[in-house]
Amino acid sequence: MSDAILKLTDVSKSFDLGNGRTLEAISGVNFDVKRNEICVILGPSGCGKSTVLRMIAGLETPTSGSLVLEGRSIEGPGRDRGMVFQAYTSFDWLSVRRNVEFGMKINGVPSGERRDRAEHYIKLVGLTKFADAYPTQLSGGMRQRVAIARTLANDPELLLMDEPFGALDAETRWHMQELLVEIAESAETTIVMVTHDIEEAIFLADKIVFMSRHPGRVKTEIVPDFKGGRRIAEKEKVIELDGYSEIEREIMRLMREEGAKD
Amino acid sequence: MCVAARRSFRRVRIIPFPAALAAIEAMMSDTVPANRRRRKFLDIRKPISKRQAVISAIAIWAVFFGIWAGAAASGMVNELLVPAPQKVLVTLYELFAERGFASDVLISILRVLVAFLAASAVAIPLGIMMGSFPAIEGIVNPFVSAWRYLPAPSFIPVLLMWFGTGEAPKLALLFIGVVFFLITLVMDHTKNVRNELIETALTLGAGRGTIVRSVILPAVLPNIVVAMRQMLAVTWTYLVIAEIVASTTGIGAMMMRARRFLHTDEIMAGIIVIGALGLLFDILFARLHKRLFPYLQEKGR
Repeated sequence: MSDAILKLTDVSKSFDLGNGRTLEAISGVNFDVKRNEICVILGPSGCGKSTVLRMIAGLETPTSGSLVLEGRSIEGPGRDRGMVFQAYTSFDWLSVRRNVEFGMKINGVPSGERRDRAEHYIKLVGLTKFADAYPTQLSGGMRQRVAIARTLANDPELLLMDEPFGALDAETRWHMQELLVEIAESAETTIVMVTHDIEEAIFLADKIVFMSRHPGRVKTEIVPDFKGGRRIAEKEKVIELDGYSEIEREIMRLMREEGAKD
Repeated sequence: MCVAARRSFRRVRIIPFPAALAAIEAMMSDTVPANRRRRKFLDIRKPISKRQAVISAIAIWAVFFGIWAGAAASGMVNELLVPAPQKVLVTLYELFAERGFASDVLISILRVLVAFLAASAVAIPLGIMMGSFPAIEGIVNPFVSAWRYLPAPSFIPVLLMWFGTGEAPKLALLFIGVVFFLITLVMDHTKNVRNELIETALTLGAGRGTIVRSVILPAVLPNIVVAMRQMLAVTWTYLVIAEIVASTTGIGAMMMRARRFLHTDEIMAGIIVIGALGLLFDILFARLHKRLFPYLQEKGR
Protein backbone atom coordinates (compact mmCIF):
# COMPACT_ATOMS: atom_id res chain seq x y z
CA MET A 1 0.00 0.00 0.00
CA SER A 2 1.29 3.40 -0.96
CA ASP A 3 1.27 6.70 0.92
CA ALA A 4 -1.60 8.60 2.42
CA ILE A 5 -4.02 10.05 -0.11
CA LEU A 6 -6.18 11.71 2.54
CA LYS A 7 -4.70 13.67 5.42
CA LEU A 8 -6.64 15.37 8.24
CA THR A 9 -4.59 17.80 10.34
CA ASP A 10 -5.88 19.41 13.54
CA VAL A 11 -9.45 19.43 12.27
CA SER A 12 -11.85 21.15 14.67
CA LYS A 13 -15.45 22.17 14.39
CA SER A 14 -17.50 24.32 16.74
CA PHE A 15 -21.18 25.09 16.58
CA ASP A 16 -22.54 28.45 17.60
CA LEU A 17 -25.16 27.92 20.31
CA GLY A 18 -26.25 31.55 20.33
CA ASN A 19 -25.85 33.94 23.30
CA GLY A 20 -22.10 33.99 22.66
CA ARG A 21 -21.48 30.35 23.61
CA THR A 22 -20.01 27.76 21.30
CA LEU A 23 -19.96 23.99 21.45
CA GLU A 24 -16.75 22.32 20.36
CA ALA A 25 -18.00 19.19 18.61
CA ILE A 26 -14.72 18.08 17.05
CA SER A 27 -11.35 18.97 18.47
CA GLY A 28 -7.96 18.51 16.83
CA VAL A 29 -8.63 15.42 14.77
CA ASN A 30 -5.61 13.95 12.98
CA PHE A 31 -5.44 10.83 10.83
CA ASP A 32 -4.47 9.68 7.33
CA VAL A 33 -5.99 7.23 4.92
CA LYS A 34 -3.80 5.27 2.52
CA ARG A 35 -4.69 4.38 -1.05
CA ASN A 36 -6.91 1.29 -1.31
CA GLU A 37 -7.32 1.21 2.44
CA ILE A 38 -10.59 0.58 4.23
CA CYS A 39 -10.54 3.04 7.10
CA VAL A 40 -13.38 2.71 9.60
CA ILE A 41 -14.22 5.55 11.96
CA LEU A 42 -15.72 3.99 15.07
CA GLY A 43 -17.01 5.57 18.22
CA PRO A 44 -19.95 6.04 20.55
CA SER A 45 -22.90 8.15 19.41
CA GLY A 46 -22.24 11.84 19.76
CA CYS A 47 -18.51 11.58 19.08
CA GLY A 48 -18.83 13.52 15.84
CA LYS A 49 -17.75 10.70 13.54
CA SER A 50 -20.43 11.55 10.98
CA THR A 51 -19.40 15.21 11.11
CA VAL A 52 -15.82 14.21 10.30
CA LEU A 53 -17.03 12.18 7.33
CA ARG A 54 -19.23 15.04 6.14
CA MET A 55 -16.24 17.37 6.32
CA ILE A 56 -14.25 14.94 4.15
CA ALA A 57 -17.19 14.96 1.73
CA GLY A 58 -17.16 18.75 1.76
CA LEU A 59 -20.75 18.91 3.01
CA GLU A 60 -19.56 20.69 6.18
CA THR A 61 -16.65 23.05 6.69
CA PRO A 62 -14.20 22.78 9.58
CA THR A 63 -13.76 25.71 11.95
CA SER A 64 -10.02 25.16 11.82
CA GLY A 65 -7.49 22.63 10.55
CA SER A 66 -6.99 21.19 7.11
CA LEU A 67 -8.30 18.29 5.07
CA VAL A 68 -6.12 17.41 2.09
CA LEU A 69 -6.92 14.87 -0.60
CA GLU A 70 -4.03 14.04 -2.92
CA GLY A 71 -2.31 17.31 -2.18
CA ARG A 72 -5.42 19.42 -2.77
CA SER A 73 -7.28 21.08 0.06
CA ILE A 74 -10.94 19.98 0.30
CA GLU A 75 -13.28 22.87 -0.49
CA GLY A 76 -16.88 21.80 -0.88
CA PRO A 77 -18.31 18.58 -2.27
CA GLY A 78 -17.10 17.00 -5.50
CA ARG A 79 -17.27 13.87 -7.58
CA ASP A 80 -13.88 12.68 -6.27
CA ARG A 81 -15.57 11.89 -2.92
CA GLY A 82 -18.76 9.90 -3.44
CA MET A 83 -20.95 9.34 -0.41
CA VAL A 84 -23.34 6.54 0.53
CA PHE A 85 -25.80 7.44 3.30
CA GLN A 86 -27.68 5.36 5.83
CA ALA A 87 -31.01 6.61 4.48
CA TYR A 88 -32.01 5.35 1.04
CA THR A 89 -30.89 7.79 -1.60
CA SER A 90 -31.93 6.00 -4.77
CA PHE A 91 -33.58 8.32 -7.26
CA ASP A 92 -36.96 6.61 -7.35
CA TRP A 93 -37.96 8.05 -10.72
CA LEU A 94 -35.02 6.37 -12.48
CA SER A 95 -34.46 2.68 -13.15
CA VAL A 96 -31.54 0.96 -11.43
CA ARG A 97 -29.48 1.36 -14.59
CA ARG A 98 -30.21 5.08 -14.92
CA ASN A 99 -29.47 5.54 -11.21
CA VAL A 100 -26.05 3.99 -11.69
CA GLU A 101 -25.48 6.11 -14.82
CA PHE A 102 -26.55 9.33 -13.07
CA GLY A 103 -23.12 10.52 -11.91
CA MET A 104 -21.48 9.68 -15.22
CA LYS A 105 -24.26 11.41 -17.13
CA ILE A 106 -23.97 14.71 -15.28
CA ASN A 107 -20.20 14.54 -15.67
CA GLY A 108 -20.44 14.12 -19.43
CA VAL A 109 -19.31 10.52 -19.85
CA PRO A 110 -20.35 9.46 -23.39
CA SER A 111 -23.39 7.18 -23.47
CA GLY A 112 -21.62 4.05 -24.76
CA GLU A 113 -19.01 4.10 -22.03
CA ARG A 114 -21.68 5.02 -19.51
CA ARG A 115 -23.68 1.96 -20.40
CA ASP A 116 -20.71 -0.40 -20.21
CA ARG A 117 -19.56 0.93 -16.87
CA ALA A 118 -23.05 0.85 -15.41
CA GLU A 119 -23.38 -2.74 -16.60
CA HIS A 120 -20.08 -3.62 -14.92
CA TYR A 121 -20.94 -2.12 -11.53
CA ILE A 122 -24.51 -3.41 -11.54
CA LYS A 123 -23.01 -6.87 -12.05
CA LEU A 124 -20.46 -6.23 -9.31
CA VAL A 125 -23.23 -5.60 -6.77
CA GLY A 126 -25.26 -8.52 -8.13
CA LEU A 127 -28.23 -6.58 -9.52
CA THR A 128 -28.00 -7.54 -13.21
CA LYS A 129 -31.46 -9.10 -13.13
CA PHE A 130 -32.91 -5.89 -11.67
CA ALA A 131 -31.18 -3.39 -13.95
CA ASP A 132 -34.47 -2.17 -15.41
CA ALA A 133 -36.48 -2.25 -12.19
CA TYR A 134 -37.35 0.86 -10.23
CA PRO A 135 -35.73 1.23 -6.79
CA THR A 136 -39.18 1.24 -5.15
CA GLN A 137 -39.53 -2.37 -6.26
CA LEU A 138 -36.34 -3.42 -4.46
CA SER A 139 -35.56 -4.43 -0.88
CA GLY A 140 -33.53 -2.20 1.45
CA GLY A 141 -30.30 -4.12 0.91
CA MET A 142 -30.71 -3.94 -2.85
CA ARG A 143 -31.32 -0.21 -2.69
CA GLN A 144 -28.06 0.26 -0.79
CA ARG A 145 -26.32 -1.81 -3.45
CA VAL A 146 -27.71 0.56 -6.07
CA ALA A 147 -26.27 3.48 -4.09
CA ILE A 148 -22.86 1.79 -3.86
CA ALA A 149 -22.81 0.92 -7.58
CA ARG A 150 -23.86 4.47 -8.48
CA THR A 151 -21.04 5.95 -6.42
CA LEU A 152 -18.37 3.53 -7.68
CA ALA A 153 -19.42 3.93 -11.32
CA ASN A 154 -18.65 7.62 -10.97
CA ASP A 155 -15.02 6.63 -10.28
CA PRO A 156 -14.33 8.60 -7.08
CA GLU A 157 -10.97 8.77 -5.29
CA LEU A 158 -12.75 8.02 -2.04
CA LEU A 159 -15.88 6.06 -1.26
CA LEU A 160 -17.42 7.61 1.85
CA MET A 161 -20.01 5.61 3.76
CA ASP A 162 -22.06 6.90 6.69
CA GLU A 163 -23.43 3.85 8.53
CA PRO A 164 -24.52 2.46 5.16
CA PHE A 165 -25.91 -0.78 6.57
CA GLY A 166 -27.43 0.68 9.72
CA ALA A 167 -31.00 0.46 8.43
CA LEU A 168 -30.72 -3.15 7.25
CA ASP A 169 -31.72 -6.30 9.09
CA ALA A 170 -28.91 -8.40 10.59
CA GLU A 171 -28.72 -11.01 7.85
CA THR A 172 -28.76 -8.53 4.99
CA ARG A 173 -26.19 -6.46 6.84
CA TRP A 174 -23.57 -9.19 6.95
CA HIS A 175 -24.20 -10.14 3.33
CA MET A 176 -23.58 -6.50 2.46
CA GLN A 177 -20.43 -6.37 4.58
CA GLU A 178 -19.03 -9.39 2.77
CA LEU A 179 -20.00 -7.89 -0.56
CA LEU A 180 -18.22 -4.67 0.36
CA VAL A 181 -14.98 -6.57 1.07
CA GLU A 182 -15.22 -8.21 -2.36
CA ILE A 183 -15.96 -4.89 -4.03
CA ALA A 184 -13.07 -3.15 -2.30
CA GLU A 185 -10.77 -5.89 -3.56
CA SER A 186 -11.92 -5.97 -7.16
CA ALA A 187 -12.63 -2.27 -7.65
CA GLU A 188 -9.46 -1.14 -5.82
CA THR A 189 -11.29 1.53 -3.90
CA THR A 190 -10.27 3.59 -0.92
CA ILE A 191 -13.08 3.57 1.61
CA VAL A 192 -13.74 5.72 4.65
CA MET A 193 -16.68 4.38 6.59
CA VAL A 194 -18.43 5.47 9.76
CA THR A 195 -20.09 2.94 12.03
CA HIS A 196 -20.92 2.30 15.66
CA ASP A 197 -21.02 -1.48 15.09
CA ILE A 198 -17.85 -3.00 16.61
CA GLU A 199 -18.12 -6.29 14.75
CA GLU A 200 -18.59 -4.49 11.45
CA ALA A 201 -15.55 -2.31 12.13
CA ILE A 202 -13.24 -5.24 12.94
CA PHE A 203 -14.48 -7.29 10.00
CA LEU A 204 -14.14 -4.55 7.38
CA ALA A 205 -11.32 -2.32 8.55
CA ASP A 206 -7.69 -2.26 7.55
CA LYS A 207 -7.50 0.50 10.13
CA ILE A 208 -9.92 1.63 12.82
CA VAL A 209 -9.93 5.25 13.96
CA PHE A 210 -11.57 5.21 17.39
CA MET A 211 -13.11 8.53 18.43
CA SER A 212 -14.01 9.69 21.90
CA ARG A 213 -16.64 12.27 22.68
CA HIS A 214 -17.13 15.58 24.51
CA PRO A 215 -15.36 16.85 22.50
CA GLY A 216 -14.92 14.48 19.58
CA ARG A 217 -11.27 13.60 19.04
CA VAL A 218 -9.24 10.60 17.94
CA LYS A 219 -8.68 8.46 21.02
CA THR A 220 -6.63 5.78 19.36
CA GLU A 221 -5.98 4.02 16.07
CA ILE A 222 -6.35 0.26 15.97
CA VAL A 223 -4.96 -1.96 13.21
CA PRO A 224 -6.65 -5.35 13.26
CA ASP A 225 -3.39 -7.06 12.26
CA PHE A 226 -4.63 -10.46 13.40
CA LYS A 227 -6.08 -10.70 9.88
CA GLY A 228 -2.49 -10.83 8.64
CA GLY A 229 -2.93 -7.91 6.26
CA ARG A 230 -5.38 -9.92 4.16
CA ARG A 231 -8.98 -9.19 3.36
CA ILE A 232 -11.21 -12.10 4.22
CA ALA A 233 -14.68 -11.99 2.73
CA GLU A 234 -16.27 -14.54 5.03
CA LYS A 235 -17.30 -13.16 8.35
CA GLU A 236 -17.21 -16.36 10.37
CA LYS A 237 -13.61 -16.99 9.24
CA VAL A 238 -12.60 -13.63 10.64
CA ILE A 239 -14.39 -14.26 13.91
CA GLU A 240 -12.66 -17.66 14.25
CA LEU A 241 -9.18 -16.16 13.92
CA ASP A 242 -6.94 -15.82 16.95
CA GLY A 243 -6.87 -12.27 18.10
CA TYR A 244 -10.42 -11.38 17.04
CA SER A 245 -11.90 -11.59 20.49
CA GLU A 246 -9.03 -9.67 22.08
CA ILE A 247 -9.53 -6.75 19.75
CA GLU A 248 -13.28 -6.90 20.27
CA ARG A 249 -12.81 -6.83 24.06
CA GLU A 250 -10.39 -3.93 23.78
CA ILE A 251 -12.86 -1.88 21.73
CA MET A 252 -15.70 -2.72 24.10
CA ARG A 253 -13.56 -1.47 26.97
CA LEU A 254 -12.95 1.79 25.08
CA MET A 255 -16.68 2.16 24.40
CA ARG A 256 -17.47 1.61 28.06
CA GLU A 257 -14.99 4.28 29.08
CA GLU A 258 -16.74 6.71 26.76
CA GLY A 259 -20.13 5.67 28.07
CA ALA A 260 -19.00 6.46 31.63
CA LYS A 261 -18.51 10.11 30.61
CA ASP A 262 -22.23 10.88 30.85
CA MET B 1 -75.80 -17.85 14.05
CA CYS B 2 -78.38 -18.70 11.42
CA VAL B 3 -81.09 -18.93 13.99
CA ALA B 4 -80.10 -15.61 15.43
CA ALA B 5 -80.26 -14.03 11.99
CA ARG B 6 -83.71 -15.45 11.34
CA ARG B 7 -84.95 -14.26 14.67
CA SER B 8 -83.69 -10.77 14.02
CA PHE B 9 -85.46 -10.80 10.66
CA ARG B 10 -88.71 -11.70 12.34
CA ARG B 11 -88.39 -9.04 14.93
CA VAL B 12 -87.34 -6.20 12.69
CA ARG B 13 -89.73 -5.27 9.94
CA ILE B 14 -87.66 -2.68 8.17
CA ILE B 15 -84.40 -4.27 7.18
CA PRO B 16 -81.61 -1.96 8.36
CA PHE B 17 -79.25 -0.61 5.74
CA PRO B 18 -76.25 -2.85 6.60
CA ALA B 19 -78.43 -5.94 6.61
CA ALA B 20 -79.94 -4.98 3.28
CA LEU B 21 -76.45 -4.60 1.86
CA ALA B 22 -75.42 -7.97 3.20
CA ALA B 23 -78.55 -9.51 1.74
CA ILE B 24 -77.89 -7.99 -1.68
CA GLU B 25 -74.34 -9.22 -1.51
CA ALA B 26 -75.47 -12.70 -0.54
CA MET B 27 -77.83 -12.78 -3.50
CA MET B 28 -75.06 -11.72 -5.86
CA SER B 29 -72.47 -14.22 -4.69
CA ASP B 30 -72.96 -17.67 -6.17
CA THR B 31 -70.97 -19.68 -3.64
CA VAL B 32 -71.14 -19.49 0.09
CA PRO B 33 -67.70 -20.18 1.53
CA ALA B 34 -67.97 -22.62 4.38
CA ASN B 35 -65.92 -22.57 7.53
CA ARG B 36 -65.03 -18.94 7.29
CA ARG B 37 -65.27 -16.59 10.19
CA ARG B 38 -68.34 -14.56 9.50
CA ARG B 39 -67.40 -11.02 8.64
CA LYS B 40 -68.98 -8.27 10.63
CA PHE B 41 -70.33 -5.34 8.65
CA LEU B 42 -68.23 -3.01 10.78
CA ASP B 43 -64.76 -4.51 10.91
CA ILE B 44 -62.05 -2.13 12.03
CA ARG B 45 -59.74 -1.34 9.12
CA LYS B 46 -60.51 -4.52 7.22
CA PRO B 47 -60.61 -3.61 3.53
CA ILE B 48 -63.97 -4.21 1.90
CA SER B 49 -64.43 -6.15 -1.33
CA LYS B 50 -64.74 -4.32 -4.61
CA ARG B 51 -68.31 -5.53 -4.92
CA GLN B 52 -69.24 -4.17 -1.53
CA ALA B 53 -67.65 -0.84 -2.46
CA VAL B 54 -69.69 -0.62 -5.66
CA ILE B 55 -72.92 -1.64 -3.96
CA SER B 56 -72.33 0.87 -1.14
CA ALA B 57 -71.66 3.69 -3.59
CA ILE B 58 -74.76 2.94 -5.62
CA ALA B 59 -76.86 2.47 -2.49
CA ILE B 60 -76.03 5.85 -0.95
CA TRP B 61 -76.96 7.62 -4.19
CA ALA B 62 -80.10 5.55 -4.54
CA VAL B 63 -81.12 6.63 -1.04
CA PHE B 64 -80.40 10.26 -1.89
CA PHE B 65 -82.42 10.23 -5.10
CA GLY B 66 -85.10 8.13 -3.43
CA ILE B 67 -85.66 10.72 -0.72
CA TRP B 68 -85.58 13.52 -3.27
CA ALA B 69 -88.06 11.80 -5.61
CA GLY B 70 -90.25 10.77 -2.71
CA ALA B 71 -90.38 14.28 -1.30
CA ALA B 72 -91.23 15.73 -4.70
CA ALA B 73 -93.89 13.10 -5.51
CA SER B 74 -95.60 13.30 -2.13
CA GLY B 75 -96.11 17.03 -2.45
CA MET B 76 -94.30 17.67 0.81
CA VAL B 77 -92.22 20.33 -0.89
CA ASN B 78 -93.06 23.11 -3.28
CA GLU B 79 -92.58 21.78 -6.81
CA LEU B 80 -91.35 25.16 -7.94
CA LEU B 81 -88.48 25.09 -5.45
CA VAL B 82 -87.70 21.38 -5.46
CA PRO B 83 -88.48 19.79 -8.83
CA ALA B 84 -88.35 16.00 -9.05
CA PRO B 85 -85.01 14.47 -10.05
CA GLN B 86 -86.47 13.04 -13.26
CA LYS B 87 -87.64 16.52 -14.23
CA VAL B 88 -84.13 17.84 -13.66
CA LEU B 89 -82.69 15.12 -15.87
CA VAL B 90 -85.16 15.94 -18.65
CA THR B 91 -84.27 19.62 -18.33
CA LEU B 92 -80.58 18.71 -18.47
CA TYR B 93 -81.19 16.86 -21.73
CA GLU B 94 -83.20 19.76 -23.17
CA LEU B 95 -80.56 22.27 -22.18
CA PHE B 96 -77.96 20.39 -24.20
CA ALA B 97 -80.16 19.23 -27.06
CA GLU B 98 -82.30 22.30 -27.73
CA ARG B 99 -80.88 25.34 -26.02
CA GLY B 100 -77.18 25.31 -26.80
CA PHE B 101 -76.04 24.72 -23.23
CA ALA B 102 -72.93 22.97 -24.57
CA SER B 103 -71.39 26.30 -25.54
CA ASP B 104 -71.89 27.61 -21.99
CA VAL B 105 -70.24 24.47 -20.62
CA LEU B 106 -67.40 24.79 -23.09
CA ILE B 107 -66.70 28.41 -22.24
CA SER B 108 -66.69 27.56 -18.52
CA ILE B 109 -64.21 24.74 -19.09
CA LEU B 110 -62.02 27.04 -21.19
CA ARG B 111 -62.01 29.70 -18.48
CA VAL B 112 -60.98 27.17 -15.86
CA LEU B 113 -58.26 25.68 -18.02
CA VAL B 114 -56.77 28.97 -19.23
CA ALA B 115 -56.68 30.52 -15.76
CA PHE B 116 -55.45 27.32 -14.12
CA LEU B 117 -52.68 26.74 -16.67
CA ALA B 118 -51.58 30.37 -16.33
CA ALA B 119 -51.50 30.04 -12.54
CA SER B 120 -49.57 26.77 -12.80
CA ALA B 121 -47.09 28.29 -15.26
CA VAL B 122 -46.30 30.97 -12.67
CA ALA B 123 -46.63 28.96 -9.47
CA ILE B 124 -44.72 25.78 -10.30
CA PRO B 125 -41.38 27.32 -11.38
CA LEU B 126 -41.62 29.97 -8.68
CA GLY B 127 -42.54 27.48 -5.96
CA ILE B 128 -39.67 25.19 -6.92
CA MET B 129 -37.21 28.07 -6.89
CA MET B 130 -38.51 29.23 -3.50
CA GLY B 131 -38.27 25.73 -2.07
CA SER B 132 -34.75 25.29 -3.44
CA PHE B 133 -33.20 28.68 -2.71
CA PRO B 134 -33.91 30.28 0.67
CA ALA B 135 -32.77 33.63 -0.78
CA ILE B 136 -35.65 33.56 -3.27
CA GLU B 137 -38.07 32.39 -0.59
CA GLY B 138 -36.90 35.33 1.55
CA ILE B 139 -37.91 37.77 -1.18
CA VAL B 140 -41.12 36.24 -2.49
CA ASN B 141 -42.69 34.57 0.54
CA PRO B 142 -43.50 37.70 2.60
CA PHE B 143 -45.37 38.96 -0.44
CA VAL B 144 -47.16 35.74 -1.31
CA SER B 145 -48.23 34.83 2.20
CA ALA B 146 -49.94 38.20 2.65
CA TRP B 147 -51.89 37.82 -0.58
CA ARG B 148 -52.96 34.34 0.37
CA TYR B 149 -55.06 35.72 3.21
CA LEU B 150 -57.00 38.09 0.97
CA PRO B 151 -60.18 36.38 -0.28
CA ALA B 152 -60.07 36.47 -4.06
CA PRO B 153 -63.75 37.53 -4.42
CA SER B 154 -62.92 40.77 -2.58
CA PHE B 155 -61.10 41.80 -5.75
CA ILE B 156 -64.20 41.47 -7.93
CA PRO B 157 -65.28 45.14 -7.77
CA VAL B 158 -61.87 46.45 -8.64
CA LEU B 159 -61.33 43.79 -11.33
CA LEU B 160 -64.59 44.86 -12.94
CA MET B 161 -63.48 48.50 -12.89
CA TRP B 162 -60.12 47.67 -14.39
CA PHE B 163 -61.05 45.09 -16.98
CA GLY B 164 -64.71 45.78 -17.78
CA THR B 165 -66.98 42.84 -18.35
CA GLY B 166 -65.03 40.72 -20.85
CA GLU B 167 -63.11 37.55 -20.16
CA ALA B 168 -60.26 39.34 -18.40
CA PRO B 169 -61.85 39.96 -14.97
CA LYS B 170 -63.08 36.35 -14.76
CA LEU B 171 -59.72 34.89 -15.67
CA ALA B 172 -58.03 37.31 -13.28
CA LEU B 173 -60.28 36.25 -10.40
CA LEU B 174 -59.57 32.57 -11.02
CA PHE B 175 -55.88 33.27 -11.33
CA ILE B 176 -55.70 35.29 -8.09
CA GLY B 177 -57.78 32.71 -6.27
CA VAL B 178 -55.44 29.87 -7.15
CA VAL B 179 -51.94 31.12 -7.79
CA PHE B 180 -50.90 32.09 -4.26
CA PHE B 181 -52.05 28.82 -2.74
CA LEU B 182 -50.38 26.83 -5.48
CA ILE B 183 -47.08 28.69 -4.99
CA THR B 184 -47.13 27.86 -1.29
CA LEU B 185 -48.03 24.21 -1.83
CA VAL B 186 -45.28 23.73 -4.44
CA MET B 187 -42.75 25.50 -2.22
CA ASP B 188 -43.61 23.33 0.79
CA HIS B 189 -43.43 20.12 -1.22
CA THR B 190 -40.10 21.21 -2.68
CA LYS B 191 -38.70 21.86 0.78
CA ASN B 192 -39.70 18.33 1.75
CA VAL B 193 -37.38 16.78 -0.84
CA ARG B 194 -34.97 14.86 1.37
CA ASN B 195 -31.61 16.45 1.96
CA GLU B 196 -29.77 13.15 1.43
CA LEU B 197 -30.89 13.12 -2.21
CA ILE B 198 -29.41 16.56 -2.76
CA GLU B 199 -26.22 15.71 -0.88
CA THR B 200 -25.84 12.48 -2.84
CA ALA B 201 -26.03 14.46 -6.06
CA LEU B 202 -23.47 16.95 -4.70
CA THR B 203 -21.00 14.15 -3.98
CA LEU B 204 -21.60 12.79 -7.48
CA GLY B 205 -20.41 16.13 -8.83
CA ALA B 206 -23.71 17.87 -9.57
CA GLY B 207 -23.91 21.66 -9.70
CA ARG B 208 -26.85 23.80 -8.58
CA GLY B 209 -28.63 23.75 -11.93
CA THR B 210 -28.31 19.99 -12.27
CA ILE B 211 -29.60 19.45 -8.75
CA VAL B 212 -32.69 21.59 -9.32
CA ARG B 213 -33.39 20.08 -12.76
CA SER B 214 -32.39 16.45 -12.25
CA VAL B 215 -33.05 15.81 -8.56
CA ILE B 216 -35.40 18.32 -6.95
CA LEU B 217 -37.79 18.64 -9.90
CA PRO B 218 -38.34 14.91 -10.54
CA ALA B 219 -38.48 14.23 -6.79
CA VAL B 220 -41.20 16.80 -6.18
CA LEU B 221 -43.19 16.32 -9.39
CA PRO B 222 -45.60 13.66 -8.06
CA ASN B 223 -46.55 15.97 -5.19
CA ILE B 224 -46.94 18.90 -7.57
CA VAL B 225 -49.46 16.91 -9.60
CA VAL B 226 -51.36 16.15 -6.38
CA ALA B 227 -51.31 19.85 -5.46
CA MET B 228 -52.58 20.76 -8.94
CA ARG B 229 -55.41 18.27 -8.53
CA GLN B 230 -56.45 19.93 -5.27
CA MET B 231 -56.19 23.44 -6.66
CA LEU B 232 -58.14 22.63 -9.82
CA ALA B 233 -61.13 21.90 -7.60
CA VAL B 234 -60.70 25.35 -6.03
CA THR B 235 -60.57 26.90 -9.51
CA TRP B 236 -64.04 25.52 -10.22
CA THR B 237 -65.33 27.22 -7.08
CA TYR B 238 -64.05 30.59 -8.22
CA LEU B 239 -65.40 30.02 -11.71
CA VAL B 240 -68.94 29.79 -10.42
CA ILE B 241 -68.46 32.91 -8.31
CA ALA B 242 -67.09 34.80 -11.32
CA GLU B 243 -69.90 33.70 -13.60
CA ILE B 244 -72.65 34.37 -11.08
CA VAL B 245 -71.43 37.88 -10.31
CA ALA B 246 -70.64 39.24 -13.73
CA SER B 247 -71.21 37.17 -16.79
CA THR B 248 -73.71 36.46 -19.53
CA THR B 249 -72.07 33.23 -20.60
CA GLY B 250 -71.01 30.06 -18.85
CA ILE B 251 -72.69 27.60 -16.52
CA GLY B 252 -72.93 30.07 -13.61
CA ALA B 253 -74.56 32.75 -15.76
CA MET B 254 -77.12 30.26 -17.03
CA MET B 255 -77.97 29.39 -13.43
CA MET B 256 -78.43 33.05 -12.48
CA ARG B 257 -80.69 33.60 -15.49
CA ALA B 258 -82.74 30.57 -14.47
CA ARG B 259 -83.12 31.99 -10.95
CA ARG B 260 -84.77 35.11 -12.36
CA PHE B 261 -87.48 32.94 -13.93
CA LEU B 262 -87.72 30.50 -11.00
CA HIS B 263 -86.41 27.66 -13.18
CA THR B 264 -85.09 25.62 -10.30
CA ASP B 265 -84.70 22.57 -12.51
CA GLU B 266 -82.20 24.44 -14.68
CA ILE B 267 -80.22 25.58 -11.65
CA MET B 268 -80.03 22.01 -10.43
CA ALA B 269 -79.04 20.79 -13.88
CA GLY B 270 -76.20 23.33 -13.77
CA ILE B 271 -75.07 22.06 -10.37
CA ILE B 272 -75.06 18.50 -11.69
CA VAL B 273 -72.95 19.52 -14.69
CA ILE B 274 -70.43 21.35 -12.51
CA GLY B 275 -70.19 18.38 -10.18
CA ALA B 276 -69.76 15.96 -13.08
CA LEU B 277 -67.05 18.11 -14.65
CA GLY B 278 -65.20 18.43 -11.35
CA LEU B 279 -65.32 14.67 -10.90
CA LEU B 280 -64.19 14.11 -14.49
CA PHE B 281 -61.15 16.37 -14.11
CA ASP B 282 -60.31 14.74 -10.80
CA ILE B 283 -60.34 11.31 -12.42
CA LEU B 284 -58.22 12.61 -15.30
CA PHE B 285 -55.64 13.94 -12.83
CA ALA B 286 -55.59 10.63 -10.95
CA ARG B 287 -55.02 8.81 -14.27
CA LEU B 288 -52.30 11.28 -15.21
CA HIS B 289 -50.57 10.71 -11.87
CA LYS B 290 -50.62 6.96 -12.42
CA ARG B 291 -49.36 7.29 -15.98
CA LEU B 292 -46.57 9.75 -15.17
CA PHE B 293 -45.25 8.06 -12.04
CA PRO B 294 -45.40 4.30 -12.57
CA TYR B 295 -42.65 3.80 -9.98
CA LEU B 296 -44.98 4.95 -7.21
CA GLN B 297 -47.57 2.28 -7.99
CA GLU B 298 -45.53 -0.84 -7.30
CA LYS B 299 -44.83 -0.89 -3.62
CA GLY B 300 -45.98 2.39 -2.21
CA ARG B 301 -43.15 4.51 -0.96
